[in-house]
Amino acid sequence: MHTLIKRHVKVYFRDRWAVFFSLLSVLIILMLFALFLSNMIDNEVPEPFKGTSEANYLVYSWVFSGLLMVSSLTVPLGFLNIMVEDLESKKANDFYASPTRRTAIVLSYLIAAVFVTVLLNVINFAFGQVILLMQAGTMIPFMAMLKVFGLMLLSTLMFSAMMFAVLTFIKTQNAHGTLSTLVGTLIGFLGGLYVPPVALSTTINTVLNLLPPMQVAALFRRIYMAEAMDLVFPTQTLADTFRLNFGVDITVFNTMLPTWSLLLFMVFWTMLFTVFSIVRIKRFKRT
Amino acid sequence: MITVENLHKHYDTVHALKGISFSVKPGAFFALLGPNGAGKSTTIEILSTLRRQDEGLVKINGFTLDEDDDKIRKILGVVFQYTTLDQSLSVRENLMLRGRLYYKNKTKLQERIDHLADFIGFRHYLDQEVKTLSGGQRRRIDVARALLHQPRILLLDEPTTGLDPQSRENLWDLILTIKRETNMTIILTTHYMDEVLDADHVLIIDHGKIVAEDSASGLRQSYASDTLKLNPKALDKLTEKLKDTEYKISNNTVHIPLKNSFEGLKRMETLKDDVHAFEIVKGNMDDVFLNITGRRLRD
Repeated sequence: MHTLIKRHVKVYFRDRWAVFFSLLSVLIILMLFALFLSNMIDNEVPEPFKGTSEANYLVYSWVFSGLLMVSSLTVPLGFLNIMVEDLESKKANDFYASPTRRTAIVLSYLIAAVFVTVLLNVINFAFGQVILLMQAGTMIPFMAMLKVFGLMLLSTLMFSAMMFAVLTFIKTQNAHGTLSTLVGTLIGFLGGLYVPPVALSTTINTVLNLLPPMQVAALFRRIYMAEAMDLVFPTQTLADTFRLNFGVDITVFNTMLPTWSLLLFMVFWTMLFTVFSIVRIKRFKRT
Repeated sequence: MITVENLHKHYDTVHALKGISFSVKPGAFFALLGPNGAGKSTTIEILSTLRRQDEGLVKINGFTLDEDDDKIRKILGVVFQYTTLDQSLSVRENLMLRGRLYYKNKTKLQERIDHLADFIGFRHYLDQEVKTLSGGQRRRIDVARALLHQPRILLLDEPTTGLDPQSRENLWDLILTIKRETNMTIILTTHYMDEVLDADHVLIIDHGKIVAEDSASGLRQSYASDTLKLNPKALDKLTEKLKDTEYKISNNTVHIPLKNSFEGLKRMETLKDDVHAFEIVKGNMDDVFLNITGRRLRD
């Protein structure tokens, strides 16, 4: 299996366009952020902090925490095109005709997707920290970094299993391309990045808050932005309003979802999609 | 030794294989000839453990298909109809990654790749990306990939399809070299008549059934006759001379079926004054297929 994982990773990184398109949503959000999203959050910063490095700390932390959620989903989606292509072009027959078990062959795609996503997420995170250092003169605290890495791992596992399960239904690269475009467009909305929750109705917010992208984004924001929020907001009321308006705190039927419940949701989604993926592996059985 | 007994395969409502049976001796060059959709590739896919038969027993070198699949996979090398190489990787990377599925020892694998680079003749593009190679060069690497683990049996599923005539000839030379220099059993599927002429045994398959089998020369002898083609000076005069002979006329040419070429020479002794030109045409595998199935292989 190790050989196959190595092969998938090599094939993915050799195709620069594949890497680019996996990160396209991230780049689009960064562009939108530079154009107008940063101003929108900047408006929420209390007067004495406007234009300060503390304000930058808050604004940039918000966008980079959201981007970690986005890349956790779009990278495995882009990466797993290799699996779709191998099956469509019958390249996978070469592996099936070798003395490697079919289950191991199928799992090699999932494991490689997790590996590549973690790697690109670490780069994404490091890039965010460099920008924070340049714009706010600081990075997030070490403990927060550790928590971000832990969450990154869990979200990668969850979204990789989810994308793998979905892609077992996809038989052509064309269909994969269409799905990627659709997901790439929606993910900014689903994670509350293009339009912050404050601008949406309660019903839409409730639906979005029940879905993994918003839940994962909220968790990343809570860790990533904790110090910035403490610095910028002088009162708890101001901080609470910001947290609700910008998807740090999320509610379902007027009930705030605490961190432990969001983590439980993540574990639930991960298990659900893993079990579903195992069931779907039968698609790869010899017929 | 490969034995196939009563092999059946259905795809939904299509009965792709209708109980075919055959055996292949060790070291033989065995050809499956038939039109597209005859069931050749399905047979290869079942033999190479990619598909499961609905019915039938397959034994490969003493191993039973479905029971000893891993052992079978170790002794089989497969060249598929389509290339399975990764276009963005170099030839060496492709072979190393595929070879590692069989070899634990990296050094031994590298030695094997080196040997194949000389044997098959791809050393000068070993470190080139596959996407920069021609169709013929890629096909040679596909063959190298199938030979990496020194299989005892090589399955070639329409290996020359889509190649230009020169690449096809080069690849064919390579296949004959493999046959000559190794004691490998080779099973070939093809719809090209000329490719089965070198085979020890030819099995003609049509609509999922075996319709004939023998050596290429045996099939020609049984199902295709040589023909004497005559270009007459005066058609009436010639046909008058041939009134007791079986013949056909097309485009003002008289076709006389022959038992063999020598019979043609004998006939020419009496007919030479009545013709402008003559030609003895050898019966070919296309005639064999036509006589067996009532249609041309390319139809």
